[in-house]
Amino acid sequence: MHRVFWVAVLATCSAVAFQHAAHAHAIAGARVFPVTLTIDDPGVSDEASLPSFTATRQGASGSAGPGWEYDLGFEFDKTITKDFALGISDDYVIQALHGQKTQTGFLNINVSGKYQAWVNAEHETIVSLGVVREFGRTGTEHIGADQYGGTTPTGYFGKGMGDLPVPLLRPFAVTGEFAYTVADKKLKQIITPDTLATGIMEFNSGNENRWSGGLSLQYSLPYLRSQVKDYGLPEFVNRLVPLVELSWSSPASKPSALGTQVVFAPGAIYMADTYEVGLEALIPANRASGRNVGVAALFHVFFDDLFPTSLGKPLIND
Amino acid sequence: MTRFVLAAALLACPALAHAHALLRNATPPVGGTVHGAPATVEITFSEAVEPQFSSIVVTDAGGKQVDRKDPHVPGNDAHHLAVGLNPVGAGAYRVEWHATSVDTHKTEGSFSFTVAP
Repeated sequence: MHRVFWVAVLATCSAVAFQHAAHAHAIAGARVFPVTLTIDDPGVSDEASLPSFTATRQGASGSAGPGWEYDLGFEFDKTITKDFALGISDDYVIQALHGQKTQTGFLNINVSGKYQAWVNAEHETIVSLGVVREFGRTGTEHIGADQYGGTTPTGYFGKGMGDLPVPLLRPFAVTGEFAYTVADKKLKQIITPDTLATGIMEFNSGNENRWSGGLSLQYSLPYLRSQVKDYGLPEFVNRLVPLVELSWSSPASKPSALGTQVVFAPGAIYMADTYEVGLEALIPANRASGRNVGVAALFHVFFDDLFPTSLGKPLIND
Repeated sequence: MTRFVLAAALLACPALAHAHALLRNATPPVGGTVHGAPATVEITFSEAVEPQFSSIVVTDAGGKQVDRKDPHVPGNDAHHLAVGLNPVGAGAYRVEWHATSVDTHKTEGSFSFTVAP
């Protein structure tokens, strides 16, 4: 029972913390918003994460954790019109638990719809609305994939600072998202002989409703080079976007098995013409988020740049 | 496994790639200062552009257009787009560009440069 409990916590933590860990790049005027690693970014595009990767050492109640979890995330996004895209994503999980056989399997499949509602090129601003649907029983139960899914309406924004009066501040940009997950089945605490013997709370197979969101603060060296001042930096440096992300989720219903989780993720993204590579540290900000630093990485390809006349263009040209 | 095969296939086909046309460098340089009035403003893009659907507009500090309205591809390399300038004096100038790459992606941007006496 304990192993099942830890597996469930690991899987749920990773699903909550990184459920949006594969994303779309977006352009508003002169601003290119790169794909971020722990939160989604504000636009729609034809692209794929092949894959995203996280390695985290997690544990309930701030303990050292029962082991490492490695997560390979895959996502494919397809524009239906230039402002609306559908996406499908899944995660392959490897759980190395202390004293246990390594467990592997897929988390539940997520399908998303996203509408890029407003773009202001002059002020480098994008606002989008979307829904993410997790389908229960589509993952591997023994690695903790939920039996029940949830529906997550989400709002996204991106704002470039190109209209600031101080030139060296113009490469800054902020992106964010805000979401509310409605669980298909409500989480309830249950009492078993194990509960009475160990004092560890156990729950049914449902999920709590949760608020979640995040912010990223980026400094775009490509923007500095092309819009503000070309300092003649090496080409590799000119393609970097140093950034820090903050992702958060907290319970919106009782009981709660996870509490509030907050993770900081400082790192950098390398922006090539048709792909990008990102690397970030995952730093838990409270005990419920873990006590050890993890790592996140991303290899992401842009189909709109690779295959502009076929796979990379909207199905419906409006 | 299918996903890895797809990824490998994508990476094996770089010749198909035509990305957005983004500014790589410019003459006069972005945010730079030149001594003496330049005859042209030239931008080098990451991708080839369609000159008929691309433009460069140069204005002075008062907002007056000072370019010759003749955007063209210098030489035969469509990665470059240039526009001639009327005789200009010392001061700050702003360049606004719109580019349509050969795969029809549209991009835009702007920057400033200074002409010193």
